[in-house]
Amino acid sequence: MTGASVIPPSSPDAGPVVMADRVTKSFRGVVAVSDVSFRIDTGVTALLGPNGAGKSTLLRLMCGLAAPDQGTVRLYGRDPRADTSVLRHLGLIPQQEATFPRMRALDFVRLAAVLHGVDDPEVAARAALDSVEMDHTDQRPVDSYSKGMRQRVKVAQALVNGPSIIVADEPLNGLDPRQRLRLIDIFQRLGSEGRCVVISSHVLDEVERFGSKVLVVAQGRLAAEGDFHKIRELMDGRPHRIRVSSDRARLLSAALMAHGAVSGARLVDERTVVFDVDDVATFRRSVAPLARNHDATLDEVTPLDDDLESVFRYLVGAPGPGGVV
Amino acid sequence: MTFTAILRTLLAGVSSRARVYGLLAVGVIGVVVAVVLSNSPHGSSVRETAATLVDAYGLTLLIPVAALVFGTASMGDPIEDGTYVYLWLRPIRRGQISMAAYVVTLGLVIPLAVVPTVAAAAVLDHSSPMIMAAAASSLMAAVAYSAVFVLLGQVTQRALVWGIGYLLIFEEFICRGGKSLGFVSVHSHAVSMLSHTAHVPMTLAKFSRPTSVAMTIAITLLVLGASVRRQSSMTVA
Repeated sequence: MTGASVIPPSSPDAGPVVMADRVTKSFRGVVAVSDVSFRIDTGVTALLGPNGAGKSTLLRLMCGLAAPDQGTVRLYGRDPRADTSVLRHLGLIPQQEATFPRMRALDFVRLAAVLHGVDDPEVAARAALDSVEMDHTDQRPVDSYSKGMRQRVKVAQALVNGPSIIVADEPLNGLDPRQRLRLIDIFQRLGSEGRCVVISSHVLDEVERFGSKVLVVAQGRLAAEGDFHKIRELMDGRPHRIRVSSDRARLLSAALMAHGAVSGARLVDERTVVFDVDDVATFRRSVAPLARNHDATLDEVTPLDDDLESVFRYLVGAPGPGGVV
Repeated sequence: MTFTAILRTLLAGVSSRARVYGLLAVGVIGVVVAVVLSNSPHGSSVRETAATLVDAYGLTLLIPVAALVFGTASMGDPIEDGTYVYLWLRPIRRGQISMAAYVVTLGLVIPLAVVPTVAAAAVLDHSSPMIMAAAASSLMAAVAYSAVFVLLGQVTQRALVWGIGYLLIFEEFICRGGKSLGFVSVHSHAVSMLSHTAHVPMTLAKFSRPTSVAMTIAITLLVLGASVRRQSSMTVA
């Protein structure tokens, strides 16, 4: 049983749960988030982006931990910095690992319950810990736990007040596969119960498992927004760069160009070519037969931009390091 | 219940063994010095020696250092390690965090710094005026310094450096220069209380007792007010 099923969700006023309007935030002159607008309703929404994209800053703005330089952030139409009563509906799982020194898990979660004004903090804390499969009788301090255990305790403290908004900053970091599945299950369940769950991640596959709505953030901007599967298709359909090594690189390049499998080629050295590929499937089908037909040996076929960074660069339309993407 | 929970959390965080035993050791050294002085012949009267010890050891060293260590850490430590978010991001009046940090600091400074200072004074001169003077001046210093350093721990991550700079440059150097700057010096008012209550003339004693008490309260309230106000405008990691 999860904390979500133990503790009923709060029932604030209807309307957009989270709304950001033209939000900009800089830290010491460095723009972390620039002119970002979005609205998030109930269900699971993933904030996807590479490290340093501005995900954590957006989450902090969303929770009221930082004030935007420009624009507004609202939870249920209220400013989370000015109106602390809206925090009654919020549960945050921060990215940082630190917990209070020498404090047991039960005390840590109970503290959250007390500060949220939960009626019976002890019972709520036990239920929340049980929901993440943590032993509430464990006498060891949380700071002696493994990363995965600490992560689950952090989740428990966020769920202890039965929040209707759950914000999690890279919550699956450091968890083993079983714990990941368990947490994904918990977040999905919370979303299906009508809560608003916002999860940041830089791992595409992780987000796919949530089966969620996605906000793609790159370079402090909102690069894409919508259903995950549509964004995935957009990502897969982008131009690719593929490096091929062969003993007859020039000949193979000419053959691939003539066949229409590549849109451009750049000879790196006598054995290596980097191809610009619009249709990866056609390229994959063509490269081996063409090499065989021209008596060329293929030593290497390596996609150069399958990492998330290049995907996000493509989505924001910025040039890549080689100016290809 | 909320305030108590914050208080206990901050107290548990700030009262590490190293800090408590370290300050305890400094406190014991002061009492040992007093014992040594009481058994040594010296030119000054016993009361003058006791007052000088309270000033040099308690008001200049032990009390400000204890307030600096615990005050800056009370909120500074959780802010620095990121655990502050677990207190701040709750539907509570955030001024409670500042007040809890202050109570925690004062609650540690009194037994670990004020009590040894009074004990050292009593070893040398156990007359009522001297004990009263030591207790009142030490408490005034503890009350004001604790507030100052709680605020400092909240506003900067280099609170220890700034705190030492404040004590050495402002409290011990600039404020000795004239009455006008001494008016906002915690040390000046504590020494004034010590001097007037113990009836021992001292260089820094520039103000009457009512003025010193009023200014100590004013400085404390002003600084605590700034800390409470700062809660709503601060950026939390």
